[in-house]
Amino acid sequence: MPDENNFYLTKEGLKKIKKEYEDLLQIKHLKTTGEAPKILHSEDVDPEYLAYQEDLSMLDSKLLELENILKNTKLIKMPPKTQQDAIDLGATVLVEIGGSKDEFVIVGTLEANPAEGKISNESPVGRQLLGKKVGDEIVVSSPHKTVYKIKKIKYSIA
Amino acid sequence: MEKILDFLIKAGNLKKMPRTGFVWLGVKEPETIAQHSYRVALMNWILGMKEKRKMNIEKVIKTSLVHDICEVYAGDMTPYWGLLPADPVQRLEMLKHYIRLPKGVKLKRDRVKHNKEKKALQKLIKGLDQKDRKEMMDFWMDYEKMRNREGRFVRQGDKVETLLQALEYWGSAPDTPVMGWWEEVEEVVDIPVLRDFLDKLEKNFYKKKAAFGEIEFLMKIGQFKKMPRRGWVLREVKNPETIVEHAFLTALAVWLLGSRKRLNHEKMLKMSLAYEICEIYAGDETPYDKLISGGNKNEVLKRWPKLLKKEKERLFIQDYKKEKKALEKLTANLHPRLKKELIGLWDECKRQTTFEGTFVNQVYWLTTYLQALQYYKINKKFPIWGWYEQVRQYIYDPALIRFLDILEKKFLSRKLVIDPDQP
Repeated sequence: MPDENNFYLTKEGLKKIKKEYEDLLQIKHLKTTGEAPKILHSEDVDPEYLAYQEDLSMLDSKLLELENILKNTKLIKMPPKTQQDAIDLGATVLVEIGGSKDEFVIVGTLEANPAEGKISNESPVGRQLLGKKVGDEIVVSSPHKTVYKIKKIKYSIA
Repeated sequence: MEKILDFLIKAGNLKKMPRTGFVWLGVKEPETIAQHSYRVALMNWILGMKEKRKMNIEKVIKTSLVHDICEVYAGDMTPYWGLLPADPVQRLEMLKHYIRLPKGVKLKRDRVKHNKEKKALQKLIKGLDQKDRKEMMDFWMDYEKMRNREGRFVRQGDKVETLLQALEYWGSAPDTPVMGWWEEVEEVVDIPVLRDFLDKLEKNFYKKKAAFGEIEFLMKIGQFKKMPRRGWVLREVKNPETIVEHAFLTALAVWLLGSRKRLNHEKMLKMSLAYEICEIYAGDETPYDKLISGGNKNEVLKRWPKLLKKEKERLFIQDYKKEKKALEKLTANLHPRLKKELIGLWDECKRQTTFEGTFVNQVYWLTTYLQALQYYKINKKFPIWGWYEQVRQYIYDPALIRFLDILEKKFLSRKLVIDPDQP
């Protein structure tokens, strides 16, 4: 079962985050070497200086956030064939809900975007689906009960 | 600055745009996109502060403010767009549940929606300075793609606020279908603070436990969404701007007009959102109220009230005490730290004791004047002179005075600004 202190990422998701981190590092390097406004030591209120300062503090906080993610990343891997009948991170799941078919892939919170069909393993639906097999049902009990019947489980992680 | 004005006028259209989902459900006078965005910003700020993984609250508020502004041009596309049957009965049936689709179809529809909204946002912000444009686009993308903590929080908070609104409609009209929204949040919301809030919502609405703390506070804000500004009611404006719609536009104006100022931006945004909430209990009084009696209303509204300094001071203190008491009542069950912060922000803005408070107070009057000028543009009988006189006393920040000039150039011709006392 996934550990809540880790960030679960697909290979593609990890690549994206690494690239973002490297790009930001490069931007920071440029800003602190070549692009720094000449009035850096002045205390005058200067819009350019202020924008520069804001940019840097935003950059730093973003870099810290990404570093923390990279330090605690667990890569989502294809489970061994014998375990592919159960839902785990990375599974594409076809379900039936009240007669309608719905489909989504279970991902970590950083990659979740239900509008794109990616559900977080930490959402109530994602959490309950983990470990279930074709033919199983889960009941999501917000005030209204919703029954998810699992029809198909597929793994296609690169 | 002309471009900021253009932006604010266009973004102001969100005050007239009802949210599609509630229109389809047949809700009478549904909330507008501006009203929704206001409470999303306030709610995400308050709940965001409780989040274990610390977030940048300025970013949370800005992302909340910007999350739906593309709808000025793109319209409000719900997850059901393009799929609802024309037949109202079948349509209502479909709306009872969250939309279910194959993954590929979801992805394709999301791309179409995203591209349309991105283009709309680019169109809306194209005249702004590069810095502001970049910030707005970045924050919107953070929300759209849930690409950082703040973006994810706002995206999920948006769904929670919508559910809360649906439950409030359901509370007063029990045939309002809310199951679809519950189904949605169960798939979308995974942030512990928001999950905890959802649990409390369930207890409040289904197990009839009394609302307390943030829920009680945010539900009071919900009632406030429809409260029209007294100034417009007095002047008999049809479908007048509400207090929260004004606060939404003021927050956007503070963001853009204050972006180059060496001030605390997070504080100014919070002030814009919190400044008027005392009116839930204090009511929205205007300086004209005490002067109107019998049939003299039209005469009184013509001019900004002239009073002696002592009288002004007396009225200010009276007003201050009343609003503070109202704010204390409204925030009574909030965490003491949050309560203190909300009262402190209001106090700084009301008494203008800090640079931030002074600036936000002036922007508040500037966006009020902008709305008055828009009413005047539609109806030349709208008494504009009182506002014209007032802003000349209330606005003194050099940048805001420049903005005032631009505003008047756009809306007032020299010929029209005639002292009403002159023949």
